[in-house]
Amino acid sequence: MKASLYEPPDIMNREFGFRKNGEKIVRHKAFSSIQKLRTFLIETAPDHVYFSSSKYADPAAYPMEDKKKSWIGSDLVFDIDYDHLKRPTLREAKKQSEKLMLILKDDLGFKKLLYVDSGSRGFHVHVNDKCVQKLGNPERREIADFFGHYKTRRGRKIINPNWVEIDTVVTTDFTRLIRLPGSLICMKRNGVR
Amino acid sequence: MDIIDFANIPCTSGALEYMRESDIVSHDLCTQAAFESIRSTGKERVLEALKDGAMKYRRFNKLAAEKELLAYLIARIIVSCINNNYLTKRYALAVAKSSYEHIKDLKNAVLLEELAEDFGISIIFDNMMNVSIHFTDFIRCAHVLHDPRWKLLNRTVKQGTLKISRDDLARLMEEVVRQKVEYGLPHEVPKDIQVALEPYLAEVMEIINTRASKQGFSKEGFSEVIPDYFPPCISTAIADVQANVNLSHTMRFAMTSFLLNIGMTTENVTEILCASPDFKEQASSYQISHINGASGTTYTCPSCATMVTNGNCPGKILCKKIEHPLVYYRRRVWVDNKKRVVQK
Repeated sequence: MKASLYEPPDIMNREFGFRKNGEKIVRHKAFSSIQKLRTFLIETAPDHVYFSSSKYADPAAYPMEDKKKSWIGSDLVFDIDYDHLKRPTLREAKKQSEKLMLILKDDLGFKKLLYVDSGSRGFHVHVNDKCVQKLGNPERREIADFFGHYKTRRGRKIINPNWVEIDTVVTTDFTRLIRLPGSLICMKRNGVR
Repeated sequence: MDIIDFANIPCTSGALEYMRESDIVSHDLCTQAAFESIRSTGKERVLEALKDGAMKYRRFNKLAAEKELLAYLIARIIVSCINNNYLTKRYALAVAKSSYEHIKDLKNAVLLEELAEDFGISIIFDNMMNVSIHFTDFIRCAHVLHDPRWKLLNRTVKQGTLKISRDDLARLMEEVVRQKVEYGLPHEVPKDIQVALEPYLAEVMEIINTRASKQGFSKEGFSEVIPDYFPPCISTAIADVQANVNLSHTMRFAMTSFLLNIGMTTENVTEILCASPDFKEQASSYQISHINGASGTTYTCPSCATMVTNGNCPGKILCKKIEHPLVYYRRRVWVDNKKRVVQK
């Protein structure tokens, strides 16, 4: 199976991180173009490639506080891991992620959606619409809560029909790195590349 | 929008433009004897905000409105000179509240649309005078409001927009005004203006000083550790750990930071955590000392809202009106201390 490497919009403003042979992650890397990234990947052949959902004027800045000062905006990311579900199967994760996609499209009206396999445990959805870029932490929490288990109607607690078991931390914390879609090709699985 | 609207909602770009076009310079405003009455009105507004938390809503005629707008400038300069966090917040809230009273009574849809656009909110009115608003604009204003009806979760969203009433819109705009005024303050004030306003500042300062400043969360604020007063979320977590139940990562962070915040030592926290089934001594002690500020940042326990989102709140009924686990603990300790004093 061969997947083409995903080029995130505004790639020069993204932070990248890599992991090889189970060692500590190397992060705070930046690339001016997808070609430069591709060359780097061929040269170093990392097992895992991650990128930031956030965009920074200076994506290679370190420590994190300095990087945050040059924050431009962030995509909205959803993560569903099958082992965190009430019914922990990959099939259930797929079902829930499809429900999530429907809600994102029909209810929240997002247009630029990317639906990908997260690596081994479930699915990621990246939302790249302009309207989410500038949202801060509390606003993202409101969106994460939108998929919560219960809602209130006329003062009573009822089951939320939009309930999806997303990993809320991934949606609210936009300083994290996420696996780069299409980078799974360089992952070793059972020793087979 | 006209000058009367500007006087009541003074943080609009229209009001700013109006003030820029008038020939009165803020330096003259602060120093010349002719503007004495405007200066004292400005001071009155700050005092009103401090004492009542709101400004009286006033219907102005054109002349009074012009004067009011200038007084707003003075009030902002006074707040900036004093540069006190509590005063800034209180003043912004008061401006927002009186703006709400004005916006609520605006009947003209075109005017409201114009105002919303100025605030960066795009709205569309339907025939029934209900308002359609994009959900991102909605959460930007509504996330600070605590009533469940302001949660996005409890609204019906279709294709990214939701319907709200006109009064809801006014309430959301109040929030925009508050944010706008608060983030714009304090601004820089030249030294000579500061000196000129000295007598006005003194009066405001006096009132601020009589009020004990709101305390942040510091270890010194908590003396001994009293497990009986832990909020339900933390005591549930501790009970889970001791019953060998594995905690989620977020809950473990919340519990550890809470215990450290109230003054427990890293060793004590490790003792509690070591009952956990996946306890690794080295990793845990690194994490605990990291949360305790080993790398420079001391972490504070997450607020109730974050706990709810991450599914770590066992239920809001037990601690109504509490917004932070540490507040729950502090309040219970305080109540207990008060009881003891009474018994003595």
